[in-house]
Amino acid sequence: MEIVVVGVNHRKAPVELRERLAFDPKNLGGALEALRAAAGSSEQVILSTCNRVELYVVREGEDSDALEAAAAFLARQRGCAPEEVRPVLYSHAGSKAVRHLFEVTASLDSMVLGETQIIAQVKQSYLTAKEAGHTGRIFNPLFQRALAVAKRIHTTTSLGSGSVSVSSVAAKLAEKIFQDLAGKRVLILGAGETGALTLQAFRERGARDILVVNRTVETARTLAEQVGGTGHGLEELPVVLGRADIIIACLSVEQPIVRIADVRAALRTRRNEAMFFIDIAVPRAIEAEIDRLDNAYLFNIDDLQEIVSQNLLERERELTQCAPVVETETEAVMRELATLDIQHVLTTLRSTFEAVGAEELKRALGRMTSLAPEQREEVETLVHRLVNKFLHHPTTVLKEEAQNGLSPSLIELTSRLFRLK
Amino acid sequence: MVYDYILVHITVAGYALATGLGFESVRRRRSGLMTAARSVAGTAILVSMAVLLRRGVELGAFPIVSRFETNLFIAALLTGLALMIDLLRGMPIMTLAAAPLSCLTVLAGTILGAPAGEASVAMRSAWTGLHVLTMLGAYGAFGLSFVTAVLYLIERRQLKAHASPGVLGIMPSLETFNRLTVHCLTVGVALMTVGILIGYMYARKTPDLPSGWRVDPKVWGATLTWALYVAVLLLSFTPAFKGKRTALASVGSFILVMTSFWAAAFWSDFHRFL
Repeated sequence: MEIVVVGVNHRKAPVELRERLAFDPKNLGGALEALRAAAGSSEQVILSTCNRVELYVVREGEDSDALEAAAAFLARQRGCAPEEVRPVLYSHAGSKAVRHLFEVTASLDSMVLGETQIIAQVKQSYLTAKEAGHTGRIFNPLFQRALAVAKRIHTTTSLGSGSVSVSSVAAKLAEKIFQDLAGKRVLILGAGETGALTLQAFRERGARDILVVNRTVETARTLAEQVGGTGHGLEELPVVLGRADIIIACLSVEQPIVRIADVRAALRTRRNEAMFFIDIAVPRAIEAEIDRLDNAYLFNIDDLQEIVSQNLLERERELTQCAPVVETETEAVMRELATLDIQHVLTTLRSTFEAVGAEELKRALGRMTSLAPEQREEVETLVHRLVNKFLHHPTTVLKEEAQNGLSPSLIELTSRLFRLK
Repeated sequence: MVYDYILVHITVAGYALATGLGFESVRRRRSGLMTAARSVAGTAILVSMAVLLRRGVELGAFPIVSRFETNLFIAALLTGLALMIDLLRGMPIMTLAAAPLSCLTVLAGTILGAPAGEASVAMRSAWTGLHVLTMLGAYGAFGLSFVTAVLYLIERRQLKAHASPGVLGIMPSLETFNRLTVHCLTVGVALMTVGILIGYMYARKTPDLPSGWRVDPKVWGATLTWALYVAVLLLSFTPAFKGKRTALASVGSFILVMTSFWAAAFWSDFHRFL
């Protein structure tokens, strides 16, 4: 028995190929069945996200070429040539496969280090396979352990701390200025994609009162309708500025359109209540001097990206804290898997010996009809004792070997010696 | 008295340990260490209260009769209020900021003062006890407004320097600090108003008190402090004073008040015990 993972990820495979290889997570049943047939495996899980497609299997023999089988399977399933897939495929077996699963689940192998979405994706893939009956005594504890390891890493290290997107950094900064974003009014200047993403981050934190200001009032009103706010033309900016607590500027302009004089007037209107300006427009749409005003806080795109870079660097530094956790857990799982294997071998060994003993006993007793009941009992006890004595030494040795890290070849040899199934 | 010193040194060590654990919790981002810091700070407060209770039983009077006990009480009050805000509002920074200040306050009390041998007749009056309690309560609230104002200024500086929200770590928002500062100022002014009135009524009702109490430096100091804080509180509600200026005024007032508090206590005839 061996755990194997074969897959492609963002490191080697271009996005065009990853898109073509991706499975629909809601419709994995057929693919899992096909994988079982192709790999001859007893358990299988398919993990398919936008950055990776990985096939996890438990195979009984070690002689087949996992890479070749996976390339053929992916090519058949996703309609592409095996030659296209083969160069970007990687595979891991045994402890390396377990370590890989732990690293993937804990987001140590993600494109954005420490992102938490992968944990839910691994969980969903495992549950889909489990519900369809594709996981058993190996994958059930293994995937549960992987999820637990990910949780442990995220709670005991700073891997997931610090936002790594401009929009979430901006929202986090706003939380350092205002007590509760739910009651705050957000003004979005322009209708760009980054601005919409930033606005979304504020909406997720409870901001509901939205003002949209754009060059064309119609576009402003269209976007405002989508977010449940009000739309205004650019000429209304000086008037609506004083009503906003948070201003997100993403309008492409040649000269700053939010000027220090406007902000001074706005602060007066709002009795000097704090204002937070996020300038993600290039060229800048907000005058930099605004940051000198007492209750005005301005962050431009460079400031935000600098914070994102710092946070990513911080996460990379945290990898050194995560590596020992993964290593310890991998070793523990490998020990447990060896114990699981040996338990299976020992149970089969005992049942095989007992079956042979029972059969021989039946045959012998059939010939010895003149035996008194107490003599029959004595013969039965003799056979049981012989079975126990024969099994005692091999059982002890195998258990000792299991504790020292039983090699798969010893299990294989034991199975062959005693013809265990 | 030896026991008092031992217990007070345990209190100092407790505040110092709570500070260390708190900073380590922030550095290593381990919430368990912050829980330990809170527990240690809470224990230090309890030990302080035990000392004051013991002093009260021994003296047979209201126990705050010397600089030693005054500082012990103010430190316990400051950390107690901070701990309460921390637990109610989930703001560990309050405990973290109050603990070192309390540590220094108790340390100053042990260096500059000693446990009183006996209590004066005045200190046996319940009115005096109430007067001292409300006045020190006011100083505790002003102390806390100092803490929140300093934190406001630090956070504001960090935001103006475009620091990462991660660097600001366990700091709540500027708005929260500003509100807390104003709340503390309000509570402090209210307690001080009551304290001054009680002191005035007690002085008027006590015939054997020398008439010179009206020109006592401590009485004048307290009245000026009250006037200063009333002014800061009223200004904090005006638009021009919102935010940084309220914080600066709160910090400045507390430093000024602490200086005059100690100076007046040394010169005063009626408030020498402080």
